[in-house]
Amino acid sequence: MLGSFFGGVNPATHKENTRRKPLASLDLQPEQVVIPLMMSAVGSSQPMVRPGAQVAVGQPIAQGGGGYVHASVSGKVTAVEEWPHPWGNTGLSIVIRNDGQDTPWSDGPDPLKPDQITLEVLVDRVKRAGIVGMGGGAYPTDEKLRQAAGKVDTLIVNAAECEPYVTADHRLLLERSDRILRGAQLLARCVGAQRAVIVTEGDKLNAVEAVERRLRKRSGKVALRTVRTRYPLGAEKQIVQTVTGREVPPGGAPLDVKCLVLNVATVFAIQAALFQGEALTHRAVTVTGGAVARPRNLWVPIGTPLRCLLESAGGLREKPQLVLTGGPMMGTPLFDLDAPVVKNTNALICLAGYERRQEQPESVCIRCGKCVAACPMHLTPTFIARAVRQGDGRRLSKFHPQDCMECGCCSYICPARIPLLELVRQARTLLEEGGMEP
Amino acid sequence: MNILELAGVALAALLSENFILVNCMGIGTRARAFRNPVDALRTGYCLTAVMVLGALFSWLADFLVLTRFGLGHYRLLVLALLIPGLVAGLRKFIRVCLPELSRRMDGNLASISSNCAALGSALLISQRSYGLGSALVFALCGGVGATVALISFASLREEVSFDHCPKCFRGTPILFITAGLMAMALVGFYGLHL
Amino acid sequence: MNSTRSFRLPPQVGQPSNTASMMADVMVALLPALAMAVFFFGFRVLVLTALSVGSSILFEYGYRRLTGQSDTVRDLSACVTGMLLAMSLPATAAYWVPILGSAFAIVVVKQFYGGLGKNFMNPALGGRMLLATFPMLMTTWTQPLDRVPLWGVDAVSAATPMSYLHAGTLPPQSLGQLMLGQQGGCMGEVSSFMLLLGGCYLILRRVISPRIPLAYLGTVALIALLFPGEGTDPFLWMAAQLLGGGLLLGAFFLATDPTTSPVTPRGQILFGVCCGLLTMLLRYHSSYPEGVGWAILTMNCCVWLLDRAGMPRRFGAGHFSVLRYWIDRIRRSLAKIKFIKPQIHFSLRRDGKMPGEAHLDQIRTQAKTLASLGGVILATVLVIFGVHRFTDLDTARAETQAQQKLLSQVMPQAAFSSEIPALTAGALSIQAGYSEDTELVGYCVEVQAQGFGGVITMEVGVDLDGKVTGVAVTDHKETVGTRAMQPQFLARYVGMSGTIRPTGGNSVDAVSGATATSNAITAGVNRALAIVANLDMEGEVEYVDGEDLEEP
Repeated sequence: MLGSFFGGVNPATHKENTRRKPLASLDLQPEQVVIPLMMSAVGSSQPMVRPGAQVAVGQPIAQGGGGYVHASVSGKVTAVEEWPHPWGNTGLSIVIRNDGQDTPWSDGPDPLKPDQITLEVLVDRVKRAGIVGMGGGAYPTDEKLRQAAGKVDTLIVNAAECEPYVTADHRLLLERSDRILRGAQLLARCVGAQRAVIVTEGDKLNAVEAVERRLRKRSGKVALRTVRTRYPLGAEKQIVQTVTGREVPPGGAPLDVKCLVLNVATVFAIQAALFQGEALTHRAVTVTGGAVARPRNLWVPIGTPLRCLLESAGGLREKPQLVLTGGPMMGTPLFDLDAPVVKNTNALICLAGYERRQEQPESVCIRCGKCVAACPMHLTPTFIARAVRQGDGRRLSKFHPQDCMECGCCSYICPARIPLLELVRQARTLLEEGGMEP
Repeated sequence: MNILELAGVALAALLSENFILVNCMGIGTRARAFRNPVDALRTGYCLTAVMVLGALFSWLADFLVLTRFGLGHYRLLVLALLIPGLVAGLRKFIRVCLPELSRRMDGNLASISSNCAALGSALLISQRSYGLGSALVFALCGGVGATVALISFASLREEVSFDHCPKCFRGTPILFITAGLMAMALVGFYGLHL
Repeated sequence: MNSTRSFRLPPQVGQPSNTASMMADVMVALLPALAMAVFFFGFRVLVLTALSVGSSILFEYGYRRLTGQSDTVRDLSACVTGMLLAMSLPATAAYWVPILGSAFAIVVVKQFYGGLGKNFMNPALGGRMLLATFPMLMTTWTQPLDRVPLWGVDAVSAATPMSYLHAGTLPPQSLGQLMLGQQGGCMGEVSSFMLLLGGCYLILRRVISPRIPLAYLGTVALIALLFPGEGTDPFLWMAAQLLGGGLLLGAFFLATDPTTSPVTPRGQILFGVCCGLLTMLLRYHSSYPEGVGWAILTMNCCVWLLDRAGMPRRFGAGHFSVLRYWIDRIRRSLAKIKFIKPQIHFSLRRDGKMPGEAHLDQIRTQAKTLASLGGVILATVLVIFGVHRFTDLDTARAETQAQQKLLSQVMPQAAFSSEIPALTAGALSIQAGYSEDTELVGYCVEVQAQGFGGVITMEVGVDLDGKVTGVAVTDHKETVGTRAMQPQFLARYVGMSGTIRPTGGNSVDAVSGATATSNAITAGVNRALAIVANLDMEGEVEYVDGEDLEEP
C-alpha cells in the first residue's frame, strides 16, 4: 500500500507567495456576476429565470443537462446572453446585477443531522446543490456517488494540489479541516467505504499538523496521508495508485478498482449542502503569478469576472506574458479577463516573462529517454511522436496513445523542445479516425 | 564432452565467429529477412533448424561413411548433395504432414536450401573434427547468432533512416557500411576462448 | 513557430535545459579527468584534445556545408565526440591519430545516418575502435608522471593495470593510486576519482539517468566478486576491476550516450547488464586486455531490439501482461499446426494392373531432371575418383616429405619417426624420433596453445634429457604476431628445459610487438616439456593381432 507512482516531474512549486495567505473575500463586491450555463462536463443547463427576475443567494436559476446552477449573489437578472467562458470561446450565461445584500434564498433545503443522512438523501442533496467535480473534472458528483455506492472500499479526498502556483485547496484544508473531516466521514459511511484517506502533499507541513491535531481529537475512520511532492500526484489514477497501490485498468475509472476520489473542495461543498443546506455558490481561487502585485487566495462567488479577482489582488504590476486559469501545466490560456469564475476554476495565474522558459526552436530528438521516464501513464512519447511524424498509423496502436491523460510531463521535460503533448493528441485522433482498434 | 568445451564452442559460434558478421556466411537469404524483424526471426529459426539437422546428418555421414572408409576426398560433394537434399526432403515432409507449418516455413526453407551457413557449418564441423555434441551446439549457436545478427540488422533498417547519406551511398552501399560497422563491433571477440 | 501558437500548447512551463546545455554539461564533467591527465602526462594531452575537438568540429561543419544541410555545430555534440575520442587515446598517440578517428566518427558513423539523434553507433567509440584495429597504435602506454614530450615520442611500452588483471594478478598499484590516477592507460581513464566526480555531476544535473551506469558497474562488480583471479582477495579484485581500465569512462560517458542507448527504462537496465556481462567476458577470456569499448559497441547494435523488449508495461495492465499475451499468441499459433498422417500408396499395382504408359509419361519429366543431375554427380564422382587415384601416391609422398621436413626442423638428430600410441591429455600426437641406428633420440609432441587470434598448433621436439631440440609452427590464425614465429625466434627455445618463464632465469623474452603470440608459443613448449617428462612408458599396448609389443 506504500507507494507512489512511476514518472512525473518536479517543477518549481512557486507556492511561497500564497501559501500563508488565508482565504479572504473580495475587497470589492463585483458589480455583476456572470453565471455560465455550462459548468459541468456533461452538458449545459437551461435557464429557469428570465431577465428582470429577482434572485437570492443559493436560488436555482438553471437546471437540466448540466445539473442545477444557482445564483451566487442576490440581485436582478439583467440578461441571458453569450459571454466569454474560461474554458474557451463563449457560452450562454446568466448575468445578475449584484445588489450587495447577499440575501439567502428562503426556500432552500434544511440543514440535516448526520443520522438523518442516507445514501439517497445524500445523492439528492448533492444534485440539488449543483455540485460537480471542483478539482478540474467538473463531472456531476451525484452521478459519481450513485455509481460508487456499495462498490468502493476506499474514499480518497484529494487535497494533493500538485500544480505549481495553486494553493486554494491547501488553504481550504487548513482553515476548514473540521468540516472537511466531518464530510469525509459521512461520505465514507454513506457509500460504504471501509476507510477514508485525505491525501495531501508533503510540503504542506502546517496543514498536516493542524489536520492531524484535529484527527486526534475526533476519532473516526479518516486517515491522513502525506505524499512527497511530485506532479501529477493529484491526477486521479496516480492518487489511487499512491494510496492503494492499485492501477486503474486502461480505459477505466477509479471505480473499477473500488476507489472513489473526490476533490477536497467538492467534499467541503457536499458537507455544506448537507449540514448547512447551502448550494454551491462560492469557491476558493488563488490569484498569483509574477505579474500580479499582491498574490493571495480568495473566497469568491461563482460567476465573478476574473478581472475583479485581479483587482482584489492589487492588479497587475507588469504586463503579463501569459494569463491562465488553472495551473501552468494543464491550465488553459485566458484571453479575455471578463470571463467568470466557474465551478472548477481553482486559480488565476499571470505569468511574467521570466517565469516561462526561453522560447527556442524545436530541435531533433536525441533519444534521451526523459519523456519515457517522466510519463506517469507508462507511455513512450518519443516513439509516438516519431510514428505520427512519419504517418505510420500501423505502429501507433502498439504504443496505445489513448492512455494519455494529457498531464504535459513529456513536453515539460523534453530538452529538444518537441511538442510531445500535441503530437500524442494527434496520435489519438489519428487512431480514432483511422478506425483502428485501440 | 566437457561442459567448458561445449560452452567455448557455443560462445565462439555466437560471438567471435558469428556466421553472418564474422564468417560472412549466410547472407544469401531472402531480402525480406533483412528488412523486417519478424521476417528476420522467421528466417532465423528456419536457418537454425536446417543448420542443426544438417550438422547432425553430415556428422553422421562423415563419421559413419566417409572417415571410416577413407573417402574423405568426397566430402565436399557429399555435403553439397546432402544439405539441399535434406532441405528438399524436409520441405516435402512438412508439406505433406504439417501443412500449416509448411504454409509459414516453405518460402524461408526454399531460400535456405542453398544458404552457405548451412553448408558452411557442416564443413567447419568436419574440418575441425568436432564430436557430435560439439557439432550440434556449434550449429545451434551459430544459427542463434545468425538470427540475432539478422534481427538486429532488420530492426536497425526499420528504425534508422538510410537516406541521409550522400547520394552515391544510398541504397546498397550504406547497408554494407552498416553491416561493416556491426562486424567491426565484433572484432574485439576474435580469439575468444574459455 | 510563431509566438501565439506557443501560448496555446500546454504545458506553459518547461524545464530550462536544452540539448546544447546537456552537451556542455558533459564537457564540464570531463574537465576534471582532463586536468588530471594533463598533470600526469604533460601538455601533449591538451594538444591532442584540441586537435580532436577541432577536427571534429571541422568535419561536421564541412560535411554539413558540402551536403547543403543545416549547420549543427551549435549543438556542441561534435565537441563532445572530439573530447571523448581524445580521452580514450593513449598520450603517446601521434598527432594524425585523433584526426583520422574523428573523421571516421563524425562523417561515417554519425553524419552518414543523418546526424545527431539518428546514428546507431556511438561515434567516439566507433572512431576509437577503428583506431584499435590498427596493430600498434593503441598498445603503447606510458607510465604516469612521465611527461610525454610534444614532439619525438618514443614508444616505451609499460604495463597497465589491465594487463596485470588480464594475466590474473592484482596490479601493483594500491587502490588509492588507482583512484587518483597513478597508473598507465588512456588519457581519460587514468583518474577514476575525477571520472566518478564527473559522473556524479552528470547524474545530479539530470543529464544522464543513473540506470545504465549502476547496472553496468553493478554487473561488473558482481562478476568480479564471484570470479576473482586465483589467490586474490575477491574485494580487492573487484575494486581493481572497477577502477582499472576504461570502465568508468565507458559506464558514465560512453554507454550513456543518449542516441545510442535505449530509451525505455527497462531497456536501459538490460543494456547496462549486458554490457557488463560482455565486458567481463572479454576481460577474462579474450586476447585484448580491455573489453569495455567492444562490449558497448556490440550492445549499440542491439539497442533497437532492447527498446522493443523493454517497452514499459501498459498502465493498468497486469505485470506480466505482455508475456502472457505473447505466450498466448504463440500457443494459439502452434495449436493450428496439426500432424496429418501421410497416406503412402504403393502405386505399383493399381486396380490390379501394372502401371501403364500414362504413368511412364508422368515420370518422364521427373526422370529428365533426375537424369541430368545424376549425370553431373556421376561425372563429378569419376573426376574426384580419378584425381584422387592419380594423386594418391603423390599426396602420400608429399605428406611423408612434409613430415620429414618437419622432423628435420624439430629434431635434427633424428632420421625417422613413428607415432607412438600413448594417450596423453594435451598432445595431439606424439612421435618418437629415432636416429639412423634405430636408437631412440627423443619425442616430437604436437601441442596446441591459445594465441591472439585463435589456436596455434606447433610441433616441439624434446630429447631424452628433457631439452628442447626444435620448435615448428604448423598451423595458426595469428594476424598480428607472426613475427614471433620466424625461425630465428623459434631457435631461441633450443636447449631449454624445465618450465620456461617469461622473465627471470630460464626464460625466453617475448618478441616485442607479438607478446601474446610469443607467450602462446612458450606455453606450448612448456606443455610439450611437461608431457614428455610425464610420459608413461610402462603401460602395455594391446594390438589387434594379439602380439604384445613392449615399449623400448
